[in-house]
Amino acid sequence: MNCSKFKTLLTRYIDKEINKNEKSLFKKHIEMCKNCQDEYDTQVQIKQLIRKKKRLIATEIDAQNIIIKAKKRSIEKKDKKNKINSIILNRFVPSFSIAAAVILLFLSFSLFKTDPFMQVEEYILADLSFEEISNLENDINLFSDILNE
Amino acid sequence: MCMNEKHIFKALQADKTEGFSLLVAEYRDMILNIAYSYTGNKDDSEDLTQEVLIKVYDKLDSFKGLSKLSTWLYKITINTCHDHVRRKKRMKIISYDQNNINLKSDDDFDKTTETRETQKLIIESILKLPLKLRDVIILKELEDKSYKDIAGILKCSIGTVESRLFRARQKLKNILAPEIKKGELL
Repeated sequence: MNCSKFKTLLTRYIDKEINKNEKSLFKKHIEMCKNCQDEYDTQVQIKQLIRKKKRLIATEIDAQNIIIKAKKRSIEKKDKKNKINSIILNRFVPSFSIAAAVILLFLSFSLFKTDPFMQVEEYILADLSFEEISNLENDINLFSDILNE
Repeated sequence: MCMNEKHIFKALQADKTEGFSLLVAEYRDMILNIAYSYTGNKDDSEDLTQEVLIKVYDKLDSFKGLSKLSTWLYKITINTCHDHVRRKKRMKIISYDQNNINLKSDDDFDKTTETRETQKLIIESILKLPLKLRDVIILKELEDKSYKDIAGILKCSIGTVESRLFRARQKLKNILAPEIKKGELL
């Protein structure tokens, strides 16, 4: 085993998560290599030191108190949700409906203004001779003059 | 699930309030100590513990017992602690930089001066670790979890746990080695 392989096994060895084969290889290497022995000693010291951290005791935490707070927060959340829903219903829905109606009206006006009449005009003129068309134009002009008067 | 976990799970299914009381009694110290490793002071840790337990109570109905109760609690605790650290960082009230650590460990561990100094140094060194490295050190050294359990809690592979532990210990070595050489800590 070389020093690089040793480093990969060091963590597992310290944490007792190493298998038997790796363990014997690790032990053999550590007996021969002074640097790795030093590294191992330091890591063990650090592990022992961190594990010395004292545990705190939670004296102020009470289940009933938590339940009351959780229920209160849940009610607040529901109120907030209802508020948002009412804003959507009272403000956004009417505004969107009006906007949609205006757009629909505009679209329908623009459709009726152009396409249907043009299509009718093209249809009528398609089967007529040049003279008939000019007569028809004269009639239309006359008719529109009368309308204007 | 261990016997105690099974007992609490059954109690939760029978009566939510009764079961939750058992859960709080069993796990509040664990949550508080994990929170302390992310905040560095007892007041914030107690607030955070309450925050975690409120979340747990809210989510109890969604816990079906498919994983260990403790694993589920560790996940919620660590996620809440991460949110807290990020929130604090954004607000820039507490900085965990080397030069500006806001600890109250003097009040939290009021024993002999020697013990107090050692405890302060331990928590300071843990607080200097990046969150991902801190998670594994807390779960391994303070909660004594196996690689498999840690991988389950953090949703990563055992190899990742191993490499994070190695990196965390290297960082701790750089921070603590001078103190260990002085021979004052062990």
